Amino acid sequence: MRSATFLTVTTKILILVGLSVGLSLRATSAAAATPDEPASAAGREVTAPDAETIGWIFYDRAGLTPPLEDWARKDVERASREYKSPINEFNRDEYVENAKARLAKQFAAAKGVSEIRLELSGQLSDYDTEYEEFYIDVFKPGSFLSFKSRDETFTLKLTNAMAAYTWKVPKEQAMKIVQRVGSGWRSVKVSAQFRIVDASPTNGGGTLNMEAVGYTVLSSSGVPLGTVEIAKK
Amino acid sequence: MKDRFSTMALVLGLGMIAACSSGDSSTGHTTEVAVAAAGAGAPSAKPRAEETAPAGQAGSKPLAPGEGEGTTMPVKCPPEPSVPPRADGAPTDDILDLRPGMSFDDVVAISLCRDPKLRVDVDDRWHVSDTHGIETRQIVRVSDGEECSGQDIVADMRNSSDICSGGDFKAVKNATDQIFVAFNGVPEKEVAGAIWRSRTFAKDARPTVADLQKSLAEKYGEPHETRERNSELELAWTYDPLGRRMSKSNPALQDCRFSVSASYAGRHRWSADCGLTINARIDLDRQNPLLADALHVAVMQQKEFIEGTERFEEDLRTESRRQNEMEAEKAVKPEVKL
Repeated sequence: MRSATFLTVTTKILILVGLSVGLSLRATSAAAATPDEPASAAGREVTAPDAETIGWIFYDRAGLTPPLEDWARKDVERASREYKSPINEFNRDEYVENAKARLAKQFAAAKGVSEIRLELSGQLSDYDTEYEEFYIDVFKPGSFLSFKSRDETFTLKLTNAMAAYTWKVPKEQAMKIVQRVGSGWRSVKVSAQFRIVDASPTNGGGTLNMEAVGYTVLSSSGVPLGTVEIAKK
Repeated sequence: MKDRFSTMALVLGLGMIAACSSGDSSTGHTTEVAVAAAGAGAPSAKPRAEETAPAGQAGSKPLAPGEGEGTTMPVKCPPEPSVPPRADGAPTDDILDLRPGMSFDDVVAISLCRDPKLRVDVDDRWHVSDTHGIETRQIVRVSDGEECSGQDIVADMRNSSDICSGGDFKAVKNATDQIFVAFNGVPEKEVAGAIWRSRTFAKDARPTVADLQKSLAEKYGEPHETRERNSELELAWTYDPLGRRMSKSNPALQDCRFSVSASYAGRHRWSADCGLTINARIDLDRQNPLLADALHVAVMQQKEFIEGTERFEEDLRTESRRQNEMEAEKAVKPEVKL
């Protein structure tokens, strides 16, 4: 597993919503990419994608054509309402064409992405002495990550949540981990790699089903506590 | 909520099913007091091999309101469930051989082979309210009660006697043994996700609480948790989605234990971080708490039920689109002059 390199970038809050029991956990995702500079898909892995990039990845994986013309026009209309905007009816079409080209470039950059790496904030459970494992709440079965972009909601769901949720650790090592994490909320960071399984449209967005490939658990100050590789079924 | 929950009467009347287990109703009804009578995976009733009984149209085709009553369709006894037997070492997950994962037809066949006198009623709504106009079979009641007549219901209301009950199903009286099964899935592709059984005992035939506890332990193993409150003894068996007894350190335990009421009429909550949950409740006799008035048991594969519901909802959307397209194709296309 490659080491995470995006721990220092600005983070933004996403909501991790419990499916059925109304849980509401907070997770953070490093937002390295911006709409103008989409995360690179080089190596078919994108690190810390923002919501718009997630949208592009969804459209690509679902085999759908994004309405670039419509989005470009809306972007330009929004920009033209800004105070002292240089956009007017004489140059609006030109701005729309430029915006469309920019969007097409972003979409192209997201094509072929097969893996996503995210940094998530979570909590470490008490050590389970019966099964010799911790539970990592960010992978709690039924949870999902939600990204909103352009009035659309894209949901990232795990197909192997239970495998990721349980972190097997021998008792001696667990005691050291607990000492490092400290008392209180036992906050940890999780740098996780996901493989995209498939994409399916929903009303007002879509779902990216993903498989956790592996993750590194770090203390809140960034000290690695352990790495997990999840066996493929 | 009768307006939203239209009950599709699928009454399998007494006379309609005769042959299925003519010699077996004794095994079906006299041994079921002890839950362990069904055994871990062992049939609770053993109808004569290869008997075939007409058993209404239950499970034979998608139901539609008004359709099916009086139609006959063979139910093969002993039943041949469409799901493989429980894996070795897996926790017991059945109530009278009914297990999560079974089809609608499995549930009806197993129930009627156990006792052909039981009536089966289907309701199209339970947990998925928006079915896009598609008739579904989300909940089934298998009951030994008799349908209440209009006069029964009027008398019941007049006397506040509570003799007839049914909720969203047709009201029945004198029911001592009722099973409810909740399904996911579009018609003919239903998959059972949760099963409840409520067994009430006559005053002169009340088992001891200790015997019921013993029977439950023989079937499901020693309970993971037992608690007593308000003349009720509750027992729980709680597994994680990996099929392991849920550890006390598992943060999900609080969400999973006792989250599904042992009685169908209770409150139910399920979560994707819970696996198989079995909840039982013994209602203690108020005069003699050593005797039981009733036994309620619920079995649910919570994670699978949630995932099944997601697939169900998606299939409903897909089926609705398909039906709309077919309707548009078949529609008479008059020339519209503008």
